[in-house]
Amino acid sequence: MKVTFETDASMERSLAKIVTNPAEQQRWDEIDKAISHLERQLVVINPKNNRNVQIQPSSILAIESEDRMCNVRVISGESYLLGKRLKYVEEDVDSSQFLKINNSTMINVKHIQAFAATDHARIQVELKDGSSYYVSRYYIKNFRGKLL
Amino acid sequence: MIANLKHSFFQVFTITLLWVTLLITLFFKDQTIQMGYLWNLAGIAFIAAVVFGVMYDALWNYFTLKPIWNIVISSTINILGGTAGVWLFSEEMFHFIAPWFPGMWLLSIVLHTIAFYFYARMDSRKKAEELNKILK
Repeated sequence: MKVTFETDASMERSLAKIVTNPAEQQRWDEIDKAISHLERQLVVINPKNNRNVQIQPSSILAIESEDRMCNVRVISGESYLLGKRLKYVEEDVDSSQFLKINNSTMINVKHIQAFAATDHARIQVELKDGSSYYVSRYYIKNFRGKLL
Repeated sequence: MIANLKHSFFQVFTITLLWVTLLITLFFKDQTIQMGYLWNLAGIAFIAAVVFGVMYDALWNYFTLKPIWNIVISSTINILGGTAGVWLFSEEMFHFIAPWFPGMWLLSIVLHTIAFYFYARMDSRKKAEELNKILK
């Protein structure tokens, strides 16, 4: 596949638009995976053996604040630790990929299944692995641009 | 979050201080006050800023507590803040309205239940639907 690059100053940073012939639409998944492999790896701690592990941000489901550290849940079901406060993690990760949903949780936009109103007058986000988190009203204001 | 709450605290503090000063000027313009009473006005503004600028903003926008806790916290702090504000404004007025406190407390619980349970439930449904539409 021949690739051409163009720049567009009106586009936000960390966003790339790929235009293909309709016939190539079935290859979009492959292209997406290939690009995902290029993303910057995140260094986390495996709590079982205290060793550093490199993971791809796209495999992260949620990042939750835990005192001075963060708990990182990945799609495979494992959990890792990140030795930073959540506010510093926010600066490190791709803001178009991760969404802060309450004071102590960030989720990966890619893994959102649906939003639901719970019995207790609260809003919940359900992720593709079946887990769910409560969403603060304040952060909903920022969702529109990131979910489109 | 802290920056936003701080901003709304000072916003409500300023508006309340000006509002109470305006009311006093309109209704008690012939009365003289002691300089110490200015601290009472500052106290009233402080209470209003904590209740309306910080508490409601935090409970509604930032926290994800169960409605029962929102109702208990908001109605309790609202009534305590209100009575303290009246007491700071005038002890005479405080004693005059004291018999109505239980009724006011009950009304406060009813209104907070409507806001933090029924309205919040409606609002949550609407917002969840909107977000799901965006996801599609």
